[in-house]
Amino acid sequence: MSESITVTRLGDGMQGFGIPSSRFKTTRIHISLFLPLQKATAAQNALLPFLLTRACRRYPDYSALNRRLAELYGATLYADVDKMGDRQVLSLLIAGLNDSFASDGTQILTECAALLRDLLFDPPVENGLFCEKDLESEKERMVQRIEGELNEKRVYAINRLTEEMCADEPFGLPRYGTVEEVRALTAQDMAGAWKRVLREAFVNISVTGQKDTSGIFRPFSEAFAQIQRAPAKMPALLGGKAPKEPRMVEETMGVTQGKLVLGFRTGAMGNDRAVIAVRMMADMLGGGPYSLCFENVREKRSLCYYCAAHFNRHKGLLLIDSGIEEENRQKAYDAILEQAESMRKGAFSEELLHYSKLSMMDAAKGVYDSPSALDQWFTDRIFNETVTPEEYGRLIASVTKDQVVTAANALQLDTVYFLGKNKE
Amino acid sequence: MQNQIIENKAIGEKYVKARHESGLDIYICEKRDYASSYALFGTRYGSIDVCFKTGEDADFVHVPAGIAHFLEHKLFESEDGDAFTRYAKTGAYANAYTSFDRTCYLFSCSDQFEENLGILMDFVQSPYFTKETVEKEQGIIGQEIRMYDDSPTWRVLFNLLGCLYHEHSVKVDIAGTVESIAKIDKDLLYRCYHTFYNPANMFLCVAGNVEAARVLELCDKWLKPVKPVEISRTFPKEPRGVAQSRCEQKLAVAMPLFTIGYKEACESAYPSVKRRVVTELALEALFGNFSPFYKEMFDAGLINDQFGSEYFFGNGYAACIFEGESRDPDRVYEAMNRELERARKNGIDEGLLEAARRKLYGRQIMKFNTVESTAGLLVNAAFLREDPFAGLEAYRHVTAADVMDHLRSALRPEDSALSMVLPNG
Repeated sequence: MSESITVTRLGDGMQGFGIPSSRFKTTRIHISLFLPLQKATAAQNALLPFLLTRACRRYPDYSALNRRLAELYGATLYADVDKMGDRQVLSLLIAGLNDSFASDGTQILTECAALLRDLLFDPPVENGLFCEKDLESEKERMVQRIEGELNEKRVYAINRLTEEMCADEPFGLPRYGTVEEVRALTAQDMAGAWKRVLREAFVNISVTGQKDTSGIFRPFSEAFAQIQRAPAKMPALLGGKAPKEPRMVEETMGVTQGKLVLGFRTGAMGNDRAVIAVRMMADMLGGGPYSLCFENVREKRSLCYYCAAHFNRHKGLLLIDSGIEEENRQKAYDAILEQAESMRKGAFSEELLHYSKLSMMDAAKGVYDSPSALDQWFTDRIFNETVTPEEYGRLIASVTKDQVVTAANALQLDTVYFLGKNKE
Repeated sequence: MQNQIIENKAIGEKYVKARHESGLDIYICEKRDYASSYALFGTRYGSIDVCFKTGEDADFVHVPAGIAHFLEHKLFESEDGDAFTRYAKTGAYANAYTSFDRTCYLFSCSDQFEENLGILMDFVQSPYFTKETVEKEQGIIGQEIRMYDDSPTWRVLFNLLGCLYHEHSVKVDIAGTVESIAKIDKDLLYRCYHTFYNPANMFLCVAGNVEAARVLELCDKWLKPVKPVEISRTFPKEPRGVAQSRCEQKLAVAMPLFTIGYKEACESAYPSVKRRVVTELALEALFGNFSPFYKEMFDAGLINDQFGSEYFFGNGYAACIFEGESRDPDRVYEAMNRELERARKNGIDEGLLEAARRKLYGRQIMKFNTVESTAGLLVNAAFLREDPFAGLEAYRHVTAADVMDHLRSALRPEDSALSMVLPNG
């Protein structure tokens, strides 16, 4: 089923990932820059992909750049920053139609690669500094992005729980830095960050949708070859430790629905082999509609519309979140813990295990059908054993009830977060 | 069953379009090199359809808001267990959604497509409601409504619809209100079900690793024979002009969110393909992220990359809607009206129009990348009994003169409104 994946060493701490596929209309080029997540650099690193995808010397403002992307038949350009455990990942990504769709013979793919290279290596700097106006505008947008996280209360509650739960670990740092940190960034800081990131980041370039990747990797490897590379050492995965008694954090806001989030430590991280039983346990607990939380917290007790478990394999955290009436807070909390207890005792049907396996295997097979899912699958495993979706399917099939129960017994409730209504 | 194969050589895609004897519209796009498939079984029944009658009814009936969505939840339950449990045995991902004018039940899977299609067709054709199960659902949907009450993006849109429309039911929340769903009982559910869940009012769309001929065969086997129902829908007469020109609500947000809407007169139930394409191109060329308007607003810090537009339309309503975040939405609104005025006077830049054309054309082709978005294209086409490639062709032929002509009657400031969600802190 899979056409073979290729990994090419492109330089010091730098690799190219070729994910060929003839299914798609597009080719996707994704540059990931991995760095240790540290308080001192988190905000400046986070701003960088947004600042860089705003302009380059050839297309010196946002408008000219967007015009170019439109003319390249609606090529999409995307910047992002995320946490991968205690590491920070900066992403720059371009996706364009394959050349055969260009009615005027435009070489879309070559142009997209060149554009992405220019954005990363040739920003419109003057005397080595980013233009003050662009920088201020990007800082302002970043502040809006940070403050805007308040808008979606479900996401906000999960972020707040993570910050509280991992307050003493890099993973507890907010994804974009804080408003104060962003406001304090100077043109010198950002020029320094740009050079440092190009020098120190572990670089992965994934190309999804093309067999022949050499021409796409070349402009990047040549540009990186001009830099004195000194890739930083990546921090090891650390799962953290739960306190003796779970921490309770409560906040209020002008909302109508309460948000409850329970944060557990699982102790399992990294390779698929190490986390597969936990992942399945999370799915059985709060994944599909067959899960214990859906069946008992939502369907049997009508307490909520959603009650879901999320497992983070890079940090070993398992979160369960739900939106509820404030007066049902204790009921919902008890009901969720009851489901976790059922998992611990093995008080679940063989069917549930079977359903979870079927659902996870079915989803894994579908990974090859979407450029973004395919790209994400392999990027997510950069520092782990490269397990293909087929191999993953076999891993799923091998999980036993005992392994799931063992994984559930390793769960330690660390922090409980509740977002409630403002009191009158 | 009548069926035809429609091919678009330029993008290398084709689909099968069929009409079953029961009246069901079936659209299938084979992607035999994919692992997965995606199927939707839908009805032309959404939140706006609250006043209707069948050929057998003497009078129109007016029902409480939120039934289409309530039915969506309830159909998953049958007398002998619920559909989710049946899907659990195949490993498929299953879901459903209700919008203004349609309700769709869907699954995606990599294995056991036929079993999954069987489950889908069976449960959607097997209603089972009791007093107890209806009451249980009121609690769950109540929490869903609460969740949306706290969603600023949702509120800012519905507040805008409340401004734009005097009478049309499009202004009412899709799930209804906690009060309106309290009035729903099993008899109302059955009545609405038997009206709208008739194959003649429905469509089935499938994309992915399937064989079209086999899907049609299975439809023959699994579609239960029912008498066709003739549905008449009625909407109160919607006056020209807006009900209100602005609306403000305070919620827990950091920066104001806004929507700006330009209501259009509706001469027919739905705008034509050409009108839709002209509108999309006009929005992209005038207000897209490479337009002079965007640059001016962006440089002034009045919009950010959340800014966007859509052509919003359905049975008896059509509007251009813009959304975004701004510290000063009023200034964005004023600038937008100025820009429209300028375009009416000075015309539209050919280069910008060409960039818009290429962008929208390319983005449309990209939708064939996944089975999910391909199936989504099929649903939009099947809903209106159109051709999913029609838009692609239309992009090529729109001229600046078409856009100018459109601007004479659409996007008028006198038919517009501004809705804002402001920080409550």
